[in-house]
Amino acid sequence: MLHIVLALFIFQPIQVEEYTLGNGLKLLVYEDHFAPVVSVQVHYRVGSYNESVGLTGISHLLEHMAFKGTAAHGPHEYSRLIEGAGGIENAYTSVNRTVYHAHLGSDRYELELELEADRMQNLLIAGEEYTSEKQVVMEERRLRENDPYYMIFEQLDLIGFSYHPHRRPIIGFMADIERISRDDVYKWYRHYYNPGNAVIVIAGDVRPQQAYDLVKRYFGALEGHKVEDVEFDEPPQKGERRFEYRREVQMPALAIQYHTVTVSHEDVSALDVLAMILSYGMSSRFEQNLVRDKGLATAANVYHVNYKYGGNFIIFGVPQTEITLAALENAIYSAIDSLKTIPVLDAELEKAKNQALASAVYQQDSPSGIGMRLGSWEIEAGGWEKLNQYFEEIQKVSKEDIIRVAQTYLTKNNRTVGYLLPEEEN
Amino acid sequence: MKVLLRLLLPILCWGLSIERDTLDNGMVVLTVEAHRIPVVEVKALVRAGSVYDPAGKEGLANVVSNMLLRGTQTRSAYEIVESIESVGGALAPFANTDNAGLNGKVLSKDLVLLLDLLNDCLRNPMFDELEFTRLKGELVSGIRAEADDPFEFSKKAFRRLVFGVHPLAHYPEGYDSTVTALNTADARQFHDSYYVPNNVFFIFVGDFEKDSLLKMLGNRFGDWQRNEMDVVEIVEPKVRTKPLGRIVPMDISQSYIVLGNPGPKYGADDWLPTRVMNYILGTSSVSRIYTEVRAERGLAYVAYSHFVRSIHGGYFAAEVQTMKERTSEAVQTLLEVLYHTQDTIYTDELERAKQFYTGYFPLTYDSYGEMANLVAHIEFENLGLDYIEKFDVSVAQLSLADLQAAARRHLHPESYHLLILGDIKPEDVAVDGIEWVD
Repeated sequence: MLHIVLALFIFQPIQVEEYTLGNGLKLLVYEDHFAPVVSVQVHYRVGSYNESVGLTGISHLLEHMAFKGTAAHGPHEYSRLIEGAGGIENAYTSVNRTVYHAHLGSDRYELELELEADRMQNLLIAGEEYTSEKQVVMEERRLRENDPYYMIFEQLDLIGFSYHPHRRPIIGFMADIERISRDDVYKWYRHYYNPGNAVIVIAGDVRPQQAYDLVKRYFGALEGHKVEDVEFDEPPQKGERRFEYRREVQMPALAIQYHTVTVSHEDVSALDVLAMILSYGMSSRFEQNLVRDKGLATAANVYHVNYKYGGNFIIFGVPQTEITLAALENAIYSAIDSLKTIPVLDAELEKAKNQALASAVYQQDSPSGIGMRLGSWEIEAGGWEKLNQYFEEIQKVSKEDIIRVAQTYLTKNNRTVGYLLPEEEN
Repeated sequence: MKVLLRLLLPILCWGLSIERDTLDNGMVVLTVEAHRIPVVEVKALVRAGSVYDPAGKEGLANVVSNMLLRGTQTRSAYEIVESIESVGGALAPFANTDNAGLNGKVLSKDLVLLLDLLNDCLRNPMFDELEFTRLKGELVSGIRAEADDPFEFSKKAFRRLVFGVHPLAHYPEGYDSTVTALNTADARQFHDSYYVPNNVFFIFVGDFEKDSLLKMLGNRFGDWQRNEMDVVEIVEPKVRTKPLGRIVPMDISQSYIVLGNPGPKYGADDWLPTRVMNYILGTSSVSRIYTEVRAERGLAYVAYSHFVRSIHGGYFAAEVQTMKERTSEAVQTLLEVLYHTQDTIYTDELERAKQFYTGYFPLTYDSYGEMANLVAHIEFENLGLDYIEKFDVSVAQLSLADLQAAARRHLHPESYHLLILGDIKPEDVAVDGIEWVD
């Protein structure tokens, strides 16, 4: 009871003003007048999920080309203008979103809206620029390939999913990056970039009505339509999958993936609490047991990631010197199996809920960070307000819920296990 | 508790101020009261960073800061982290070149708990043998695992190449062999030498009331006796006269190139023009390095330059990763850009840089955590009470000659250090007059 009262006291739901323009453009405004700065973000509803074989990496290629100019602004002019206004800007591509963002003084964020409206409708994607930028993206791909940990995760998705688009890497495969033409990218741009398929988030020292008026001025006249996703159901995994990935490394590592649920599913909160009990903070079970007491791991981390069309519960471990991957893997399973039969301690559950509550407060120290989360929840979960509901759901998780989700999802038949190992003589 | 000295430091531009108090045992307390969210961020910085690691004991400062949370006279390692994390707070050790200590964050209702833990952990670590052995196992394995990441490893190898046998040559984590050889007596001695109140700087940012905070600090830390420390002489790193190169073989598709030289330390009188020069050279999203290496030639995804600085020294490094067949072209391009920057900086570049820095500054401290970092920066770089107020004016007054002088003083394309990690041979890198070392 004390906990619930405390939770109500600490947790202040995030307040957002929401607008929808006639062309379908969604605008979310989050006010925070602590500092005279504003984060402007345009989230497009497109990412690697939408890509098919042969076109992997095209959303990311387009993101690169979005800095290469329109008729009104030459290559990199956009970056020059934002920096000239004392701002910083960047972009990223994820599974279901492509996001352009700038952070700048609150007296000049209109500039970013003007430039984003231009980017939404007038990109040239010129051939010469495309040829050069493709080389850059290929170098980015090589950079990933040279990182052994990135590669074991890429393999994990490829083997853990046999059909679902989540199996394909956001950056794309090298052969596809090479093959995709300028016209392919232009078509992708025309198909996905329009007001009806975007969410604009403005967070910081801003007045909602003024933000709305500006967005309407720059985007209101554009034509918009939402692009519907195709849904793909991954067949249930009916048995453990295992693989080895060998390369020149000194230290081996392992990654384990269990399929879970979409971001909107009711079991997300219990799985998140379970993940926190296992590996969040230095007093977590993995940190205390696997790393400190038994000296089995130098790192043992859990990531529960959920998207619009699926989720994964991932464990990544690096053993200490002289410890085999098998020994670490077995210790991880022992820790998971005990969650299926023995209720977690009251103190552990309370701690996880307090950590979630505190993180809900901490996140409000960064309007740009909150903005990113709002855009993400709007697109992945179908509504930003579900972010507030999520924190409420976390407070309701019971010991029985944790046993149930551990038994349901963290099973041998539902897992894929990868070993990163040093090369050996054939 | 008596407060000896109280200074008002810069006024942050939206009504917040940094205040600096010194307790009578010499402990410095820097505070920024802010009430955006009910949270307090704390940094407990001790001038006990890796530059003070004795030769052959590289990694000691980092081990000592980690041991702060591994048990005290009255709290076990588990009790320490459990107590703070059970209220949703965090307490973590850190070590950088200059400083080591603890970073903490709590909801403001739990500030007393955090202060109690900081007091106990900073002053009374046990250095228990079993905990020490466990920690070394974790750290040594971590160092070996990180060596498999070419990105991190190339940076570390470059620093060793630039500084050779010098306290700045190693990263705070040290080497697996030196960490393995450390014992609890080393750690105790290091702690006794450096963890004294007159060597401690506290930074608090967030939701507290300063006078009450100072009282709480006095009640806890007031009986900590000041002590004189050994003065460690850190000599200036040697400047070379001709290029020095090293290739670290790794079977990968790209060359990880790091090219640079020793550079200015904290307090350098020409740091501002150097920083603005480097914006034009290698940090702007349309910088010269970005434009020549990435946008024009498509050589790399990552292409930038930076100055890494500390109290006792620093270095300049330009970094590029490119497919191994184009290594030579990338190195030559970097050198051309450096020579060109020494020769010529254009008026429009300077004007754009000025526009950027005048608007950009508030973005660098719009969260409690960033504000705490800024306060540390002002304190350790001795930037002065009026740093923030004067920043815009100082930038506006910079001339092309200032930037040109900074480029000539701090860029050394004639005597650079070059580290390449990858599957390549010296003969594949077409540069003149370089001495290659293994």
